[in-house]
Amino acid sequence: MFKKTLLFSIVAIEIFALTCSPFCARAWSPADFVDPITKGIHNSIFGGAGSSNGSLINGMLQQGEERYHMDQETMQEYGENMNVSWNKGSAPEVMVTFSPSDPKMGEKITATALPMYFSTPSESLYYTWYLKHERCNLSAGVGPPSQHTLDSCDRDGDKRITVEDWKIEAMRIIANGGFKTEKVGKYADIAIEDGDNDGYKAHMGGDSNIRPATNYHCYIHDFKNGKNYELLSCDHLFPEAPGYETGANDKSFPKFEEKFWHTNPEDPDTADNGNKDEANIAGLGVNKFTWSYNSGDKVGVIVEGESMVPTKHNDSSMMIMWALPKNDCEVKDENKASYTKEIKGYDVTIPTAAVDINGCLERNLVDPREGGQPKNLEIALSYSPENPVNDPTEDNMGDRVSVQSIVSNASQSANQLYYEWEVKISRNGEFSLDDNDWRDITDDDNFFSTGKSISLTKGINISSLDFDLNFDQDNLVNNNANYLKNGIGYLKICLNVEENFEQGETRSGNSDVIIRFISSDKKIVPHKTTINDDGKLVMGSSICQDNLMEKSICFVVKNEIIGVDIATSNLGNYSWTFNGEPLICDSSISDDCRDDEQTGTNFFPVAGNPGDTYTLTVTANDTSPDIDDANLGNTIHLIKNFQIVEPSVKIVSAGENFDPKILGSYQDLDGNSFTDYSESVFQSPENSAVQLTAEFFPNFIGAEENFNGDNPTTKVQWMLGDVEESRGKNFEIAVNRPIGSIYNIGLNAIYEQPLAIRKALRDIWGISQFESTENRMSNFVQMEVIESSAANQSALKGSQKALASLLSHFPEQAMFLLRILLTVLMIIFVSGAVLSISPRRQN
Amino acid sequence: MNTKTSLNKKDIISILMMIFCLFMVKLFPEKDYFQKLIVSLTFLLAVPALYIKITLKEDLKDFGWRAGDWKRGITWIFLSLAGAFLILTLLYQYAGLAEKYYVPQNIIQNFGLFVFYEIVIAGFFLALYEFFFRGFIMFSFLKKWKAISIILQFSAFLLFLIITKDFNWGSVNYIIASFFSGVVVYKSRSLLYSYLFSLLFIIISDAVYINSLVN
Repeated sequence: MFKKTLLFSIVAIEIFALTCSPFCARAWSPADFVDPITKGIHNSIFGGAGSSNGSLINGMLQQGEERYHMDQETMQEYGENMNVSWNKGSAPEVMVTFSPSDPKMGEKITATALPMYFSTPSESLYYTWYLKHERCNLSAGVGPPSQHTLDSCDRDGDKRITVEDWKIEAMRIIANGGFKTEKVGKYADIAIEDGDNDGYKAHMGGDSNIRPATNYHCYIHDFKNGKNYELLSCDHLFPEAPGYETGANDKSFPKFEEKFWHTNPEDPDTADNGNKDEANIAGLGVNKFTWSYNSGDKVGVIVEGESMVPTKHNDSSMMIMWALPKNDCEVKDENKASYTKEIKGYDVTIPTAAVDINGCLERNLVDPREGGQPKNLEIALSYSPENPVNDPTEDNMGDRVSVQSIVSNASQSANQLYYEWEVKISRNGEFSLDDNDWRDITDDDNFFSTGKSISLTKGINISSLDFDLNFDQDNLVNNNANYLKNGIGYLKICLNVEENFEQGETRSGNSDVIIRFISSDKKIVPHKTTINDDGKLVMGSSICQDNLMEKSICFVVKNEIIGVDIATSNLGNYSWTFNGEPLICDSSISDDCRDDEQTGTNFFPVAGNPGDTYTLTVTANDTSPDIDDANLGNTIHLIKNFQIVEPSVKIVSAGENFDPKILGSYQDLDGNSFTDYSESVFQSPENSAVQLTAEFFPNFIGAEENFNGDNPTTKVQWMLGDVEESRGKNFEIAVNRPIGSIYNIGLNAIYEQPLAIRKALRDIWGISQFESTENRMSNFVQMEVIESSAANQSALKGSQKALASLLSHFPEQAMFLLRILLTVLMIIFVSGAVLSISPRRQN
Repeated sequence: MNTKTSLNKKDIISILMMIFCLFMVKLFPEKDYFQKLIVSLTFLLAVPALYIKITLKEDLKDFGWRAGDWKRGITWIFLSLAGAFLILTLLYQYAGLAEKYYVPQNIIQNFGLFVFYEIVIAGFFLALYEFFFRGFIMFSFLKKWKAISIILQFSAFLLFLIITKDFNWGSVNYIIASFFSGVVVYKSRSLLYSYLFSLLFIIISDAVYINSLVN
């Protein structure tokens, strides 16, 4: 600090010397000195004719420059800046902020004024707020406003709309402070009475300005040329009740004014902000203004206070100035003037201007919604799963992608917002920010079957989007398009949300999220397990591959050991979980596993109870520290579900002549008729051969290999009545009993794990041999022997039925005809008999 | 002319026979279409015919099996058609019959089936109805109760529809035909004209209905 002060002192002296040198030289011209000695001294000090080395002062200055390393150009720049510094002073300004920044109609909004470059403390400034409603335009002199406009806008009752009405509208809200005027029985119309002593005397330039009135000098800053002009009149810009002056010397706020300003005549501080009522009208320290926002409202504020610029007058005054939000108050050239005043013995010119600041207020109105548009909705999107996998096969077992949206600044709840989702796919399988690189597939049936694999995409309350990644390979890669690159594609989920912001106005927001997906037909394949000579687990034949149901959920039996693998050539890292817990396989369990890392093979025991479900997951990628590896970013996350079931067996036909008995038929809601077949009663024609077989669930129990060997894992026993007939998987019956006879067929089966598997269960997973016992199953059906022709009857239908019925059931029809004939004969006989016993038959 | 309106023993037996036949159509056990056909044929035609011939020992001519007065018959066919279509029009207009009436779907789309259905199926059952309700029932009481017998046979037909659970909007033209057919029989004393009237009315009314559906 000291060094800076010293530097500036030297600079000032130097400038003084440079400025003074020619002046002094002229003032003390050598011609004025007659005495040659004096003349010589003069020349030696200031320089002159005959001075070979320049003046003494110049020499001193040069020494000063050298001593203090002062550059001449720098010094000149300082001087040039000082020459124009008067035009670059900081005039008072005010900035207005709003909360909320995008108000809705009817919502409370607060405008806050942030004054700058005032020497008056903020709490002593006068803030005159003014509020203009959409309809309350200034009267243009073309005729009186409509009565409706006057009723809404003319606050002072002068039948015109002026800025005074805008001020009254705002300051009345401030002074009123939510006070309900109807609480006061009546306002006295006597003007002189100030019952609650809430008058206030305002000081020019702010409440803290206690200078005498003679020191009030009001100025306006011309922001175009940077000059300050003294105003010809120096008055407050406060709003006033008709016939009254706000902040006058009388310090009186009579009841008439209380009534006009809607303040409480019995409360000196109606607004409860620490100010007297009249001080609130003057806006003393009122830097905030809160009102109920209506569409089209604009607001402004005039801040009165002392600036930081001193006047040229010979007193302690600072310039009293007014700040406006947009600094838009032109000082026209024709209104500019000046006067000269002797100050300290000098004639000082003071520029003046005649400006009505009230005329500038309209141009300084601020729209709380700058730009007239509400802010955009802010939308955040998230999705799961993190690395979705597309299934390009017909299995349609790809991940279901769920995209969730959150609208953070909506004024309404999600069920009132309108959502419109789009799903786009990268045209070249690459990430891109160019929208032209994306193709909209939302309504493309090749990707999404309508109403099936994608949820609703438009409408209110659609805050999330779900769709299945089951894009066929033919649609992803064909002659016209290639949406994949190295098996990886990108989806762009776009969301547009709109809400009714207020009547006739909506606001919207857009967002998108790009999802990287892997298209892979790789799946976790379950296998039966066998044991090798070393007692280690070996992958056996695959299971659960026969139909889509089994592929989506694999049914297994208790005490199985299930092997799983994932056949991939381009992945190297694997992480297996089993019901959320890590599933570890090492070389002690199987030669397909490793001790240092997981491989694409794993094993787990089925140790639960029927009904339990298992979820097996594997995550794999191609990340490798080896620089020779491509590291293409291939990642896959696969899930396989298992359910433990109670095994069962069923007797089914392996050939012909074993048809389920028809119990009737039923109709669905569309009127389609279906035949209802019995599951336990079958019919076979007489003198036929019936081939039966055992059908197991899960079907891998019935695999042929399970019946082979010395110790087959699956054993069956066919029974006819109580007699055992066969022990093979298949069974043939010669139907030689008479029509109407019944065969009671029984099938008992046992499914048990080989001893080696049971040992592995015990040794690896600690499952006791008492828990890994066999499963027993059985099934019983009845076979009814029928006539051979009846079996074909069901093939006939429609109009042939009557004839077919007659032909195929001739004995039955004959019986019917006989019955009806007998009935006819009987009734004729009875009627005849009754009539014949009549004593007198009447014709 | 001596007309006795009270019921004698023969009338009572005949009434019982009529009721028996009506109920047997519904109650006699049958398993298929063939048997259903035989049952209808038996109790609406064979039994009444045998009863007339064997039990009552009367001539079938007295029960409408004759040509009758062809002039009156033809005249009343047209008059009855006019009356029947007037009622049908009113039902279409005010009872929304167009939405309630129905015919088998097949005959709407296939003209050959339509002709087969109207001539063979409808014609067969109309013949049964004519013989039983107009021939047997109405002629049994025609001499005694004159025009009231029209109401009697009409009531019997309604009873028959209720028993067989066919009393619905799909049978409305049969119901109308039943009444006017009785009128034709009453005037012509022959089942021939009433059968022609019924057949014409059913065919035309179905054709008009189908035409309104198609167009």
